[in-house]
Amino acid sequence: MKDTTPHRPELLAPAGSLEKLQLAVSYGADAVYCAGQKYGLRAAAENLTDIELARGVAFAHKHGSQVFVTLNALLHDEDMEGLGEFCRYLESIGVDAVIVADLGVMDVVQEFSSLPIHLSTQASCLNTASAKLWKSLGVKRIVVARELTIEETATIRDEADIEVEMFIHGAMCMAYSGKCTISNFTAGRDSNRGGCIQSCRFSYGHTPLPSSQSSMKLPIIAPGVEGTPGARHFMSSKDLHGLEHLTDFITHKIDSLKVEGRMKSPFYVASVVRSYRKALDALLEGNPLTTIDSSELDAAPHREYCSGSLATPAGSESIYTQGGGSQERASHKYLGLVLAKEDDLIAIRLHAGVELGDTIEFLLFDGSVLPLTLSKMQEVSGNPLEKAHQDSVLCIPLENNSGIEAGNVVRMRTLAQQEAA
Amino acid sequence: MNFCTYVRSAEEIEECAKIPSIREVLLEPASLALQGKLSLQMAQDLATLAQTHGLSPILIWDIELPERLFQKSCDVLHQIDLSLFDGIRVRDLGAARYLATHHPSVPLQLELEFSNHNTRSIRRWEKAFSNLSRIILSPELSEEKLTEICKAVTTPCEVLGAGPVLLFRSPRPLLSSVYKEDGTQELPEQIEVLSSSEESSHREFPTIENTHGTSMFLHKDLFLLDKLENLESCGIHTVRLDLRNFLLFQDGGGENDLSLSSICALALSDPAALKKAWPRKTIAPFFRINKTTAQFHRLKSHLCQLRDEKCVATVLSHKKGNAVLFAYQDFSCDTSLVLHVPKGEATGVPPLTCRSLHGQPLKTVPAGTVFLASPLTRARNGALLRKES
Ligand code: SF4
Repeated sequence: MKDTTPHRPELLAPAGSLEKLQLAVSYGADAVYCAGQKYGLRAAAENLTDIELARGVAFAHKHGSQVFVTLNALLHDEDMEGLGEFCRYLESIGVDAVIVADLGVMDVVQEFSSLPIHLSTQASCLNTASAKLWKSLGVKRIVVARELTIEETATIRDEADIEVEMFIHGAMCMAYSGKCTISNFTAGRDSNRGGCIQSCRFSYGHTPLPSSQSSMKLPIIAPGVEGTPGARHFMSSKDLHGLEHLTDFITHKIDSLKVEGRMKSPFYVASVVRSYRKALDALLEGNPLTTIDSSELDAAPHREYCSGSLATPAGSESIYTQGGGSQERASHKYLGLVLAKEDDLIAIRLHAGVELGDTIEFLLFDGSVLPLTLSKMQEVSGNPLEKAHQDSVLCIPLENNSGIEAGNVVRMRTLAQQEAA
Repeated sequence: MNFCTYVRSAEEIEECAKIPSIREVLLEPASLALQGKLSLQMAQDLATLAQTHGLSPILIWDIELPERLFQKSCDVLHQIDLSLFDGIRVRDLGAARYLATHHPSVPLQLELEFSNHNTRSIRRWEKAFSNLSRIILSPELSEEKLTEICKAVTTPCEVLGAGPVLLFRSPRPLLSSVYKEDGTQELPEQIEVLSSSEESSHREFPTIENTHGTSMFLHKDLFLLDKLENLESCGIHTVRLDLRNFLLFQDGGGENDLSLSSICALALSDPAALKKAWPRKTIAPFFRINKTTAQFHRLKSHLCQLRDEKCVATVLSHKKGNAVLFAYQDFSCDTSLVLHVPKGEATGVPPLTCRSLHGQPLKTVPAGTVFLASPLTRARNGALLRKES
């Protein structure tokens, strides 16, 4: 009999730290990807130490989620030191797969472990022939290049008979992944080893080349002043927003849907994972896409959204010409994280200040939002407070068992949103 | 030293034929090559001409090949008489596999310029393709690494000897979008500009948009022609001269009187004079050493490394010797501890008095709790408490 259960894609979330890993799993990620202290692509990220990786894997497995570790830097010989032992360690703690972009790194992984290998998007796999090649070299899953549509990715999956993973949400590189060395040559920082300085986010002016043979004379375009409406960003990409394509991902049997953002805040991780979890579950229960509320994806800071190349190849509509301002586009600000709950008392590490009378919102793990108007707050020492400052720890006595748990993200509507409301 | 170079006309082939060090010419059809200008017929005619002059013609197929273009691109390839060429140069690994599968007798030249910087990867690529005849190595490799790689493989290796460095490739029409937004009605087939940013010290990067997308180049040319002896002792087989944009990118836009013959002659006889006469500023940033990870340790707090099995808690906030902390693991309050602050110092901690959120005295702090501890006079937010070794 034909299996009629809808395809259930994996929701894969970024985990730039152990805290974010736990958060992503608690908010509904089927799998998380994170890096150790070396070999990944985010030199500035906090990342996880060995013991944190072990704790993260134990936590994720306890909740039925998987952990993939990124080894996706394009390494030079001297960076390879210790990689084999690290692979052995990852295998010993039960890591579910490693994400690799470099054949040399893959060679080490294969020599020292039997860890399943996912090919990073950094390898820019664009077609079936390339997928077949990587498969023959030992790759189990391809994180396809961001330039591919859902339909093309499905073709690769079918023709190469390999698992496929696509980005569904987050910031995008404007270049073909792995094909940008601006930072290497202009700032002495290797973008393919985690040192990108994000030159594509700068505003640029353009002067026609004096020796151009073209008979059409183009005007000079001034760069404008950064941070003003006149600034020109010609190589900065809008952020990807794939919610409205969820049905296509499911019908085309894309195996894994990846959220970008290992450098982003816990607020971003919680909001995005929670939104996609709810939407996926609703769709899989048979609800139509039109009933899905996407406003939660506007909560955390983001650039203007576009659908990248998911449906058709990204064109000029995907360029974030105005630049800057991702904070202004957020409907909420990040207040903090519930670090602990003891009986009727919760402790929140504050990312921004609050005062009595403010209405704050808790993002609960079941996907709901719990508003609370602050009528009582105190320091950890028990002293009552009227105002609490950024980077302090705030305690709130709760009057009933509200469903708030340690790990919940706390947010507040932005002033603009409050006024609009 | 062998040179290879791109050619676009019969005159250029004839000039190459007169230069003993040039044995190979690179032919770029517009439909298959990123900077291609030739029709398929022209590419084949030039290949025939090159053969008659004893030059090896190489077909360039270096566009990126998303699934939607792959078959179309293979179909274009089939319109070409491949027997006229002594090899095909590709960048896309799918294209490489396609050639290895469908045209195993055609020598394959593989561009590994962007993403392969270790000996292991290059050796494995060599093993993966039995028809491999050339490996094109990255301009980011140092002399020492080039030597190691050339020793580790049997396939001849090539590097860029002089010419623009491709910094960035995107399939998106980035320049036409700017001009359209600016109200420019009519745009040339290829848009050629200098792009500069205040945040990039106003350096002017040549940027080109054509049907294959947008490419940005470094503001200086890579120049290794004064290091030919070193390259030879590294084991480099061929040095590529990329003069495709020689006139277009030259600083100041004036004339320059360097011809291919004079470049090849001067490269061998007086490379210093050649460098001086070069129409763009030159650079060889990584030939001696590649230090593009040297700044990374500054990007990250040294405390990251210290969150190990000895780390028991982190400071969340502090006031007058009292600190609020979060416990990573169970620990007894009489454990000997050291406080590590973000700036780097580590100081011993006297026995701590710890209390729970409810103010209860604690003998043992359970993992996952927020607690108060004193005295911690040197506490800073983010500092770590670790068991003493
Ligand atoms: S500068 Fe931009 S396009 Fe280049 S690697 Fe960094 S994020 Fe990607």
